Amino acid sequence: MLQSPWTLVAVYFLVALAIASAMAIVPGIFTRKRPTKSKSDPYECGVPPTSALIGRFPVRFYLVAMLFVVFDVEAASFFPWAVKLRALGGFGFVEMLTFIVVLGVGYAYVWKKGGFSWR
Amino acid sequence: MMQLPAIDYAVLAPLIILVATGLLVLLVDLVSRQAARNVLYGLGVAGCAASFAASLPLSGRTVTTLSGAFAADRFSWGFDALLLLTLAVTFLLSSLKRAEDGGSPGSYAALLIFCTVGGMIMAGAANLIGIFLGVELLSLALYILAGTGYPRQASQEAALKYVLLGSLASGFLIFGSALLYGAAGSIALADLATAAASGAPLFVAGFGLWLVGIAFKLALSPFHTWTPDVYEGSPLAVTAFMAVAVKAATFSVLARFIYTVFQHDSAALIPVWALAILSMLVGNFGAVRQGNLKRLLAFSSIAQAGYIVLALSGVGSKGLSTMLFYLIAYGFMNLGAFATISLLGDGGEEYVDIEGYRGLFFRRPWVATWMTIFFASLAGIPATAGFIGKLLLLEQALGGGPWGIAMAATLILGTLVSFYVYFKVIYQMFLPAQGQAPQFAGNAAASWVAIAVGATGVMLLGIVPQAFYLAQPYLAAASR
Repeated sequence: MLQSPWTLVAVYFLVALAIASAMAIVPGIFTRKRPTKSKSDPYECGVPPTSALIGRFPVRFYLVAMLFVVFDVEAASFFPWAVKLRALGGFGFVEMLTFIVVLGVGYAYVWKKGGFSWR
Repeated sequence: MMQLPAIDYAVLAPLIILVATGLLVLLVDLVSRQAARNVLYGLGVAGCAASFAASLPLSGRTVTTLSGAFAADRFSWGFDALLLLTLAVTFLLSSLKRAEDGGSPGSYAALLIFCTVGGMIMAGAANLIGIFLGVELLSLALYILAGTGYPRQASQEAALKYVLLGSLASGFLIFGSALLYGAAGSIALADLATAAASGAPLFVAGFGLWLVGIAFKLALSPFHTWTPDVYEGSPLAVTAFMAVAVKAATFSVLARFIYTVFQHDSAALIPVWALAILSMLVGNFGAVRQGNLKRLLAFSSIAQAGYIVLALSGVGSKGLSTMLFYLIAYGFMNLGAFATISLLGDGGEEYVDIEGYRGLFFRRPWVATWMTIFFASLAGIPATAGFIGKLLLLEQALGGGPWGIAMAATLILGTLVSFYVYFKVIYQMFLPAQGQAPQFAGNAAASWVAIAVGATGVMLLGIVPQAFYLAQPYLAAASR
């Protein structure tokens, strides 16, 4: 059993678990708790909080963020293709055109459906 | 010049046609000012037919492409046909309920199509990455579809629960795949067999995590807790699609994996058999107290998933055709049952309270008759597809050693309990009518077509099961 290379992994997990549990439990036993108002405030870069933490957030932000991520990540996949354009040859070119067409349909759909307009 | 993998476009044609249909649906939705839902759904059905036509030359052949990542054989062909039929019937059911596509039939139809593409990738995937790609494509589209009954709060709840728990399951699946790759040094299923035989701890851990992800998608107990809520909240047509297509696609993955990687008496498969036994018990006993028809069918689908696992025990590749037979039978009876439910309720609202079915036979004898047949088939009454399916499953399991026998015994016990469950619904329909009766959907032609499809399948497979064996599929690469 000791010869198994997995013993070390098991030991590693046990040590990690012990350290993490100790860090979570030990301070709770030894500290004195004297909470004040400023101590229990949420940390906001050292300045007093200006607004309630739980507020309503326009869903438009999420829409913009999602569209950005989608098109940004897909644009990122152009780079390796551009670097290896000559090596990939005609096949790579047609594949990329197909990719752009699929992307373009999605872009047109989002645009026409008003995904980009800030209403 | 770089070495590129050879691509056999004839093998991928059914997928390419379906993807193109999805894009076309989106474009048509943009161009036509007044989005005509029936035109979009009609396009979807036409895409199914074209994709099926493109898969016809592949029937009976065994070819792989994309460096062995994607296989087309009789096994995947049967699943593709089932998935395409399910998609077409789902479009029929969707055309009835006005409010259920979230007011955006274009994206709804496109998502259903992409979902099916994911299922077809799963049916043909011959390596771990292909499996994960298919599962994710299927799941991501379904998360949104579960929420398309948007104004209903239950539908939002279903979408949120599904996406949170589903992402967790995907995490298990991909982490398990990584460990399997670590154990075997290859992502091809065929190469995993060596690692499986050695019983390396890394392989066992990987398979365990991978199995959790798959069991979640199959709603095998104890990973079934999302099922009743998601089935209840999703729009009816989406629930029907979920119950049939997702289960079929995921079982194709599990079957290909187990048949390619393991011997049937491998000790690593004991967790699979245990999941099956637990699912049969939880599904059938859980259904007993349900008063909502969609929740009842959700528990029923948990139990049925447990039954289908029996096809994987036992010796020989006959189990694969048994599994396909049961899944096709299950598809017909579920689509039929959901189609009859879609007839009730008016103005886009669905009616799923079992009490409301009281006296249905005296008001709508044909609806009640077909519903009785579909529920009798779910219970496994002779002369229906469900009976033959269970018979084949029992035969397969009895060749599977002690675990096979334990599963067979649980199947019989579960079936006894399920008689009570399904006959509770049938019983209501034949009681004298009383109180407020639900309205019927106005223009129901589409549902009747769907009922006809389901009824033909259930009767045909129940009375002349040989019809299926004329085209008996098998996995050529993985006969035990």
